Amino acid sequence: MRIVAVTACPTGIAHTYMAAERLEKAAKKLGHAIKVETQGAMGIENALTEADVKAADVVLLAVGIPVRDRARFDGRRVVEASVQEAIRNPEGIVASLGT
Amino acid sequence: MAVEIAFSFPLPGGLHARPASRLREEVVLFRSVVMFLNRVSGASASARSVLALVATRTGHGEPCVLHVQGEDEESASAALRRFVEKELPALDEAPSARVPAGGLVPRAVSMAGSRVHRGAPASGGVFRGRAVVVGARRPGAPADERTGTTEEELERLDAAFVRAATALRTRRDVAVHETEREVLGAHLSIAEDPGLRTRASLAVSAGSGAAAAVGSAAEHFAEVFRASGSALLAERAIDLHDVAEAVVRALAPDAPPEPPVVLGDDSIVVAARLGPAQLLALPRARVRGLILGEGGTLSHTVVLARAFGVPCVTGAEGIDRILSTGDEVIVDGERGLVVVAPKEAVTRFYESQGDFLVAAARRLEKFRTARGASADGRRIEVGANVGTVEEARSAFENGAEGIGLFRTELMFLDRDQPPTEEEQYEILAETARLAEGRPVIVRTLDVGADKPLAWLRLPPERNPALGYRAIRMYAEHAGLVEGQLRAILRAAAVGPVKVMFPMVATPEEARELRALVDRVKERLAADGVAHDAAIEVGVMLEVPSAVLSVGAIAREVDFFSVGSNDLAQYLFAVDREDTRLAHLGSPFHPAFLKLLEAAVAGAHAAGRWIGLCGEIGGRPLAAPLLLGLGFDEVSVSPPRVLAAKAAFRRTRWGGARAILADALSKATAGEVEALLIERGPSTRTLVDAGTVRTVSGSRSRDEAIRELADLLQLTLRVDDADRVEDAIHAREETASTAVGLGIAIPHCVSPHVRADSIAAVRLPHPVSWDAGEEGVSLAILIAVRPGSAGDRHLKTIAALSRRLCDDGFRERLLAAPDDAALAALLSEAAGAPQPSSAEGRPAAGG
Repeated sequence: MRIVAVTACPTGIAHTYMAAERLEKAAKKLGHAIKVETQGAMGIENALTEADVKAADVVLLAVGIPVRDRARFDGRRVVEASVQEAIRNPEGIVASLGT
Repeated sequence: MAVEIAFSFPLPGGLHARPASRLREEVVLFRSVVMFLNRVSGASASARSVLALVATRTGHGEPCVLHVQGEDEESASAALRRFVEKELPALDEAPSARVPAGGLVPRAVSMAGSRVHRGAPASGGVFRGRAVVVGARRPGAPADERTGTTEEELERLDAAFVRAATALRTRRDVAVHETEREVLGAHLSIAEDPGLRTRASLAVSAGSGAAAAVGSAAEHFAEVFRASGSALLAERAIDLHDVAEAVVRALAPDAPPEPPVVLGDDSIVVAARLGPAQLLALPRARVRGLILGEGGTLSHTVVLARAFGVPCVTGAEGIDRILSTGDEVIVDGERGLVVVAPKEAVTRFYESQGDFLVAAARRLEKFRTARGASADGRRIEVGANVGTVEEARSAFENGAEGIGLFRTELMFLDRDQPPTEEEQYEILAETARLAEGRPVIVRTLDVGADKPLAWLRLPPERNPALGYRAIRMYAEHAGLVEGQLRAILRAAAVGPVKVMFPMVATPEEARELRALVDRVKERLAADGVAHDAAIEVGVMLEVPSAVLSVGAIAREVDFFSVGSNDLAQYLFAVDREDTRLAHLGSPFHPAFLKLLEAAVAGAHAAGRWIGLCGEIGGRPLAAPLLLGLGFDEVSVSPPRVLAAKAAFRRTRWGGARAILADALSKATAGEVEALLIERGPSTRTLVDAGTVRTVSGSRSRDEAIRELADLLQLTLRVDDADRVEDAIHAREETASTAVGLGIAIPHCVSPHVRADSIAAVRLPHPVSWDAGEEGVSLAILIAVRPGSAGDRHLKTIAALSRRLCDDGFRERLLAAPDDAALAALLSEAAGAPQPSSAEGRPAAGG
């Protein structure tokens, strides 16, 4: 499964990056490809390209605030989760994406 | 025609300051003359004077009248009727809704649900103990008993005044404490004031009893004080009542003394008002805290509390009625809070605060004996501004390298005749002896209509700051000035005392003053009196014209000292007493910095040294500017000496020059402050052994968060732990920052953060972070400034956050043997260089 994800939290200085790290590790462990864009205090990093989004099977938004530039995901399968959930139970979230 | 509005006074608390000032606000909207009349007492007052209204002492239910007369009396009376009926009855509610200047109520206190009363922080420190309520004595209403004829009563009155004065003189002469001696001296001059005695005698002649006459005379002058518009004079009203008390007691010398107030080892004295004599009558070592309903921060009682190191909160309205003797109370003189029946969480909070205060003092301790200098050794002397021998002593104990400003006004205030040359000499010589070779700069008398002296009889001025004051009055008061100069010149024979003149605006004035000093020297020499003929003569630079003539003035004098408060006032045309103008006249403004630059350049070009003795000297933020400008000396209030030395020690000379250059190119004070914050401590590492604790005493999430904020305050990384704590909780409320794994990462972005920082506490017993959550054993705080210059820091924080997902890394954090190891792990994970030491790294970008 090819996953693209966005993480973002209210202050964007810690949880955004923890969630990204946790999701990347969980996906790798479960044998999925993942690319995570972080929308934090440093702005958008590791930005998802149009091609990334197009090639993905699912879009995961692990956010605590409205995600920036959401329109690019229109027409894709989008799953939403909280940042906290992504940090606490990343494998559970990744596993649920396949269903 | 006139309109009368009759009503019975609706507020249980009587006509106190708040309803009085609201009434005034209504009245000043109209042109009509509005008088307030209390039908019971017959007291009347202009409704435009808050103090006069309060002085009517109108109580609950007393019938009153507002008398409205003038061209707009109809609309005015309609508005006032509405005010009296609709608004006034509600004005007693929720006095706590007013937020006097001061800090927040700390979260631990507000969350615990203990009752909190706010006042003004008048003397620092915190004490937890038991209230002892001291009865308020109602001035002006002693028993009116006449014992004989008018002549006999007058004789009795005179004798009482003499007895009271004698008693005061004796107590003054045996007083050990300097401040105590000054206060008793001030009381003595009130007791000997012919005005007070005359007014009391007139009342007796008119049929009044002696006791009542003294009370009403004191109240009359107290009212004049209060109506003076000067906060200082208003607070002197308390002294008047204190003296009146003493005289009334002296009327009946055989009466049994008042039962003494019984104090324990943990007594906090609570009173509506407490005169300085009442305070002095209490066993000093047993007064551990002071809570007063009245009294600002200038009263003699407060001055004494500070001198004795007793925590004090003033302006806690009605506190003597709220508290009862025996109540358990915390007096927080740092924040101006009174906590009643503190719950355990509050007690724990204050205990931890006490530990932090001690730790903070210990961190500054090493600067006590340090020379004032930059991180790279450029010398800048750090002196202290004082007004009494006691203050000078405390300044030297606090590591002052000299007295940069000895204000002589205190020797002259509160008396009915000027001090003798001998009295002045004693005070200055004693200071010179305490200095043990360190310089003492004595400023000559700086008084005017804003600092009234009874015996000078200065006419009121429209604009005292710009009027007849300081050296401008010296010609008229030549004898007085010569006496002071003789005292200074004689004290200079004891130690390195220098003389400095205030308010010099032109080179001509400097030349005349120099010649004056020379004439006094000649006379001393002719009289064969020991003095220092080589005394250094300096002038204050506090008038812009003097700064622009600094080269010419330098030909007349040996040194300069910038009075930055007055200089800013005169440069920006801003009355510094007017709180409405507080946003103007910032000493960080580039225009002001340019003036300072001209002052230093001019003085140094002429080979003269130059210091600064205003408030900006005590602001750590300003250290790079003052150093960069090239000041030879900075003089600050005694409690700020160590912090000022520390601030210079953290700054490099080269970096300070660069910061100054950038500051001078800015347009606004705000931009300069932003620059100083950005270029200040930000080069420090994110985390060090001072910001982490492997063994925390915190037992709950809130305590852990407070501890984290305190760690940053202690290491000078945030400027207000209370506010940073609130910012952390605000973030916590949007969503818990517990991330599972036994870790929480609370964080905040706040303007009260000085340097982007990481702090951490390891909790011996896991605490619950949010409902239903597993325990948290490690809390890591990330505190960031808004618009952080620190993208660099944000990157490292992001890197740290990612590392925290690593099981092995977390285990190492939880197993770190000590603070330094934990700090090193966090620092390494954040990709920053290893911290080399807990503190002392150069802060300014050099």
